[in-house]
Parts: sequence; C-alpha cells; structure tokens
Amino acid sequence: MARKSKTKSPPKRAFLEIRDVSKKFGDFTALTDITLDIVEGELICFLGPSGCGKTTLLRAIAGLDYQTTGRIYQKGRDISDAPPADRDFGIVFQSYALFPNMTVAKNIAYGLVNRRMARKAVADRVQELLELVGLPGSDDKFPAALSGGQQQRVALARALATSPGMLLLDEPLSALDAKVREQLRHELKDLQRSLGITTVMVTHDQEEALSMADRIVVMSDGRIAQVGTPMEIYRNPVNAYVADFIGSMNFLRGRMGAGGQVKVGRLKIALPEGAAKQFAKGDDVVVCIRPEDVAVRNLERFKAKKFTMTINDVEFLGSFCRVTLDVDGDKDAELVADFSINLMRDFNLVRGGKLDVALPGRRLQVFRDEGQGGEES
Amino acid sequence: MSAADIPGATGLEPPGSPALRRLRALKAESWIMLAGILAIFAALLAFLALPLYALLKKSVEDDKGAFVGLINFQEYFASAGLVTSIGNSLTIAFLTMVISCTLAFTFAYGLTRTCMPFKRMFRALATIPILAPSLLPAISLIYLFGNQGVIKGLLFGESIYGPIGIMIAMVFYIFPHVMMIMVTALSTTDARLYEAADALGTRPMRVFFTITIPGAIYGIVSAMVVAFTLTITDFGVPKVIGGQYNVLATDIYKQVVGQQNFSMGAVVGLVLLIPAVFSFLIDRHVQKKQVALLSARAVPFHPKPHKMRDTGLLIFCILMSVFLIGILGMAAYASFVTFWPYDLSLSLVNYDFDRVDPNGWSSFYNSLKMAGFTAVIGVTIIFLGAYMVEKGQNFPKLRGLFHMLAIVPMAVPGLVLGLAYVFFFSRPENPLSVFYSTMAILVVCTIVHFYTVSHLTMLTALKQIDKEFESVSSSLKVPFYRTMFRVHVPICLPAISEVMMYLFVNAMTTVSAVVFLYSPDTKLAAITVLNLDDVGDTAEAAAMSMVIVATSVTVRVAHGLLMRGMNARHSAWRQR
Repeated sequence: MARKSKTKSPPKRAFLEIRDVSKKFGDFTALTDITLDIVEGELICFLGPSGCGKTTLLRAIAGLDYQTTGRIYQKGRDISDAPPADRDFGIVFQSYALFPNMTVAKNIAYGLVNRRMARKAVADRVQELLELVGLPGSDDKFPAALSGGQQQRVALARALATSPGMLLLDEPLSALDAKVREQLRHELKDLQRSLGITTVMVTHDQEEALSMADRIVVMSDGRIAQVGTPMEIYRNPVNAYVADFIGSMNFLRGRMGAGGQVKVGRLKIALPEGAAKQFAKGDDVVVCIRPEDVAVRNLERFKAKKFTMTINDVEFLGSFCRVTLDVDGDKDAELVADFSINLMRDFNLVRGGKLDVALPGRRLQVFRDEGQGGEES
Repeated sequence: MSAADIPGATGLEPPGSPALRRLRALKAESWIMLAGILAIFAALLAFLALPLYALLKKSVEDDKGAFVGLINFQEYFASAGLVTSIGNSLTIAFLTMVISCTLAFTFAYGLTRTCMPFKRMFRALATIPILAPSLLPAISLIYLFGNQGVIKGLLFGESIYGPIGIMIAMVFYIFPHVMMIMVTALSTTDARLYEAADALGTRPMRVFFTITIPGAIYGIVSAMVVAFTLTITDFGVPKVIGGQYNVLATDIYKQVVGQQNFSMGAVVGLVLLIPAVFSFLIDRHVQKKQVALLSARAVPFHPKPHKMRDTGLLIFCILMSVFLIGILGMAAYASFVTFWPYDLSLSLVNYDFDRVDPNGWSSFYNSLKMAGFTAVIGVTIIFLGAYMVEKGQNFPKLRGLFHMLAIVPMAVPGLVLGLAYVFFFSRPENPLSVFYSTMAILVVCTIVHFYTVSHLTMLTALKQIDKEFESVSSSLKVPFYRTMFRVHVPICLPAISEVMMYLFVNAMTTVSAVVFLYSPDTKLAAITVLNLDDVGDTAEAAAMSMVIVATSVTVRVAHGLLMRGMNARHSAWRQR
C-alpha cells in the first residue's frame, strides 16, 4: 500500500526485504534495527549463539511472532502485519512437529488436502515428494516408526508440498546425531540448489552454516554482526566477536609500536600496510591468526619475521595435530597451530622441542582491543 | 545497499497502531477463536462469577432484599449455636486430616517404597470410596455401630452418631484422594540421593527424616490441605451420622432448606468459603514448589527387599483394605437384608424404591441422564477451553484471564456453589432464571463444580503436544480448528476419556451442590439416598447407594476396556 505511487519502474528488489525490524519482550530487547535483503534462490544462514535473536527473526519473517517495529516485504508486498497463513513459506522445526497420529503420506498431504485438489493429484504429489526426499515406500508408516533423519525428511517434504516461495528451517539438523547430520547437510543443500528455493536457515552450528550457506548472517545480542559469504566471514571477520565465533582463532593482545609493528610480549609482529594504517602508535590491539595459518615450511617465502618458539603441548586429533606454542613464557599468551601429520613427522615435533614459525602478514586480522574476544576457541 | 534507495521499502510505519493493523489482517479462523474464547469466558462468568457475587450480595441483605450491611454477620456471631459449629467443624476437619494423612502416608509408603506383594491390588482397592457417594460410609457405620449395630460393643458405650461417626466415615471417604497425592509425592524421588546416603553409611531412620520426608513434604502438605477442605465442606456424612453434632455444612442446609433463612445461609456459606479458599491458596503455592524438586535427570527409585519393613507394611495395607471393604461390604449386605435386624434373610425388597419413594427408580434414571450430559457436554467445553488457553495464538490476556477463572471452582465448596446458584437463578428478573429447577441447571452446576480438575488434566495432556503444530498448520494454510480435530483430539483421547469418566462418576455421587437445585422432576439418586435416610428408610438408602456404586464401577470398567482397546488399535503411533 505504502509504495504504489512512489515510482513507475522500481529497481529490482530483493526477494525478502527486512527493514529496521526490532522486537521487544517486555523490557528485554531481542532484536535491534535489523535491516537485511535476502536474494531469490539463495540459502542464507542466521548464525549465532543461543539468545542472539536468530530464531526471533525467523519467527518474525514467518509471522509466528510479530516484530515490535519495522517492516518486512516479500517480493515487494508488505507482509509486516499479515498472519502466517497470508505469507508464502514452508517451515521445518527443530522438533519436526510431525503429526504422530497420521501416516507419512497423510502428514505430507496435510497442506494439499485443504486446497481441494483431486485425490489422485494429491497422491501423485505425495509420491513425487517422497522420492524427492529419498523415502519412497514409506507412505503408510507412522512418524514414531521412523529414525530422526527420516522424520526430518518427512517434515521437509510436508513443508515443500504446497510449493511455497520460501523455505524456513529452524535448527533443522540439531536434533540428529553427528553422522546423520553431516549426510543430511549435503542432501539438504543439493535439494535446495536443485529446487532453487529461497531458504532461510537458523543454526548455532558454525560448521553447518559454513558448509551449507550461500551467505551467512552472524548475529549477536539482537544485532547483525556481519553478513557475507562463508569464505568472507571466515577470512575477513569484521570484529573479534565474529573471528572468535567462526572457526578457531588465536588472539594475541599487544600494543602498536613504531613502523606498523605490534609488540606482543617479546614478539614484534609486522602488520600488512593496510592494517597498520588504521591504528596509531600506543593503541591496544588484538592480532588474530587462525591455527592453520601459522607457517612452518618455506619461511623465506613470507617476508614475515621468524620466531623461535617452544612446544608446550601436542594434541593428536586424528587427521592433524593441534600444537600449543609458547609465545613469551607466559601461560596467558600461547599460540595454537594446526599441523598435518606429515609436517609433524618431517619436523619431528615433540613436547618441549623448539620450532621456527612465521605469522604471514596477509593472514593476520587486527582489531582494536576492547577487552572482548577470549582465548583461542 | 541502503533502505532509502528502494521505493516503498523505507521502513516507515503505515498509520494505525500495529495491534489494530494485525487485528484487521486477522483471518476468519482467528475470529472463530476469539468468538470461542469469549463464549466460554462468558459462560464461566455467568455460571460461576455472577452467582458467587449474588451470594456475596445476599449476605449483606435482609430477607426482602434491602441492604443491611454486616447485620447478618453480627447476628451470626451472636448466636452461640452457630458459632459452636465453627469449632466443631474445625475440630473434626483437623482430626480427620491428621488420621487420614497418617494412614494414607503409611499406605502409600507401602505401595512405593517396599517390595511387598499385591501392590496393584491394594492400590485399586484404595480407590473404591471414590465410586460411592459420601453418604454410603455413614449409612454403613450406622449398621455397624448404630443403635442396632452388629459390632456396637466396640465403641464401649460411645455413640456413633456424632464426631466419632463423622470422622470414621470421612476417613473412608477421603482416603483415595489423600492416598493418591501421597503416592505421587513418594514416587517423585531420586534414587541417587539414597545411594549417596547409603555410601555415607547413614542409618535408616536418619535417611527417612532427612531424605524421604523432605522429598515428599510438598505432597504431604498438599494432601493435608485436601483432607482438611474435603472434610470441612462435606455435607452428606454429617447429615446422615452427625446426630445432634452441628457443623458448618449442615448449618447451611438447615438455615436454607429448614428455616428458609437465605441471608443467614449466605453468611454461613461465606464462612465456609474462607477455609476452602485459604487451603486452595496453600495448595497452589505448594504445588508450584513441588515441580522444581525433581530434575529431568533423576534416577527412579527401586526399593530393595527388607523383610521386617515389607511384612509390617503388608499387614497394615491388609488391615486398611479390610476397613475399606468392610464399610462397603456392610452397606452391600444391609441393602440385601429383608428387614434389619429381625429378618436377616436376603432379598431384593429394599431395591423396590418405588414402594417407599414417589420418585423411586426414576431418580436413578435422572442421575444417569444428568451424569451422561455432564460427561459429554462437560468434556466438550473443557477441552475447547483448555485448547484455547494452551494453544491459542492471539489474545494472550483474555486467555490468561480465562485460565484464572477456570481455577476458581476448586476453591468453592459444592454447597456454596449450589447456594450461589439458588440466589442467582431463582430471581425472576434474571433472564437466566428459565434454567431454574431444570435438568440443565444441574448439569451446568456439576460441570462448574468439577471444572478445575478436568481443566488441569486436559491442559497437561495438551501441553505434551508439540507446540509448533499450530505454526505448521498455519504455514500450510490449514485453519486451526481442522488441525485441532484431526490431530489434537485423537492424541488427547485418553485424557478426554479420563475426564469423561471423572465427570460421570462425580455427577453420580455428588450431593452437596445439587441438593439446593433439584426439583421433584429432576431428583437425583444421591439425593434420594439422603431423603430415604432422612425418613428412616435406611435399608433402601443403602440399596440406592449400592446402585450408584455399581453404576460407577461399570463406567470405570468400561473406561478401562476402552483404553485397552484404544491402545491396541493405535499402538502404531501411541507408544513412543
């Protein structure tokens, strides 16, 4: 209603537009000024710890809980105040919410029967969906007779049955055990890609988000911390919070010295030019590097300085080892590095031994030290 | 990309408050929901809140309806006879509470914490009194200890007509209620506490007082409160066996039915309401605390055999069962004896009710009809009400208010409710007075009287259903009522059947609320028992009680079979 007379040919609008959405529960603010565009056909993940507001945002999109202020547009239509039945989405819940007293086929057909479709057409559609989710022949089973993964597929089929324009997934995999979860991750992503359905997924599992999402929205305390592709978020976190939340990260606290160098204890770490410019001498900063980015081989390749460190601990983790290095004889400042088994063997790394490492400049992230961001996670 | 670049997506709020816009966007189904909540809310208002208000109003009016302030109360407290009743009621309630709770705790301890045999049988036996009207134990005691009683000598000259008789009959009548609360309290325990105590070498007595009692304390308090309230508000027992010993409950009846002194009846009703409301509040408070006591990770307790303890409690449970069966058996036997105590031959002559009472058997058919209507209409309303409270999506304040109102009946004794109905519905200017002295008012009164327990049972069943079903349903554009019928009703069938049985049995046995409301055409079986006993036809009263017991047992057995059948048919999805 509000937009009809503004312009004749609006520029291409995003599939779903979220504008300044806030949500308050009494005195508690669950969402603060969320503005976000969701592109047609993408799989976008809302990622964050519990209580960050990701589920609240999903429920606002679905109309299950209304936002306190702000607008939501789907394909240009203002759906901010529309009840869920007036919006165009299918949803899968963490609990799957399958009707226990109905067979798989009846569960899937639940939304179809209401549309006065012919019985034959409904049955055909159910078969089609069962094949789509890889459960042909399970029509007459009751949900209780299915495994968690199978129930999840049925819930997905039910959500897709009415061919909605958008799919909402609320922690869809978190009730499953690790093996099944990994397998379903791929299937879900494949299915989403082949159907080309715009999908919003809420998860607290960063691995899940990194492996499935086209874009990730990292949330904290009811605000968006960062939006980007998994690679962007992993490689270039905008702050220490995101860096800490996604993947493992070393946090080295230090102070800016002269010539773009940071002093961390006795170490002087050279920053790349771009990063160094943002800080003045004497600023407290945090230098971040991922454990897999600590370099050992071909150190000449990097212009960075070599540091000789003592190995405090070696933790065997199957395909690789996590090595804890002494930075300054100080327990609080340790550097964690992930080394392949191969490298471990080549360099004969054992507890108490010495090792030369470099911290490659282009792998470093530097943030102002605001006291946040913990130890390595 | 900034919001301002995109026309129309400026984030500006359209005019009107969000709540109003959302109300306008509501679909037909939400209006159905609203209409449903309002309808049930209005019904509870009309059939609970307004009558209670009428009672309150009556207590400050004279017989002509003029406002007289607290004069009625002054008059009440000036009358020595009436004030004695307060003392009597409190004494009886207190002693009955102590005795019944001690017995029920010991019985429940035997059922939950020992390895004695026949636990299931004992448990089933202990619930027998629920199936009988409270008049039955009193009648039975008259046969056992009355002027011509079989074991009168056991009382050593004391009379059964009075406090002793009231207390024994009350202990029988409230035993199942108290026992079941005790069983629940003793079942919710964590075996790890006992293992820890064992590992530390704690003596059994100390374990009992430091772990068992504290763990069950909330249940014990709750049971005490229930025992106290049931005793102080019961009317049938003191009416039959109280003799000259006056209590509050019989005072109300005498004031209203005997002397037609309605204002004084209202005052006594309010006096009776005080302990009931008070114990209700204690119970609510205690129950809230109980929940937190057991964590999800608690390990269930399995008792180990202990010869002395097991034997001792087995003997106790046998004695208790003998008491319960003895009372029931005496009534049954007396009902078949041709002419007590002169002709002890057995016959069905006492069951020929039409011989002694103009309503005779028809009062039994009335009871069946009333109980049937109460069960069917009651369960429908109670289910819909609980559904709206638990699963409704909109109007949270209205739903909360309704839930509060639904809890109130628990705090209102049946006598008080019945009296309130008299004041509210008998006034000709009330459009609802067409109900007065019909079957409908008996049904409505009984549903309201037993609303709370049924409502809570239904709520518990609904709470166990995934709360996202409504969300799924609306995302699939299926209206809520369709999902309610196709999903919630089938899943709740066990609770629905349970509530129906509860309503039916209580409607068969209740006296207190309906005693003010029946007309000659709608006289009920339990009231016939009362009248028969009043005019001295004790044997016929016993016979009619037995007919009621037999009906309740039949319904209970039918319910059991139904549940078994349902479990078998739905085993594919029911046993998760």
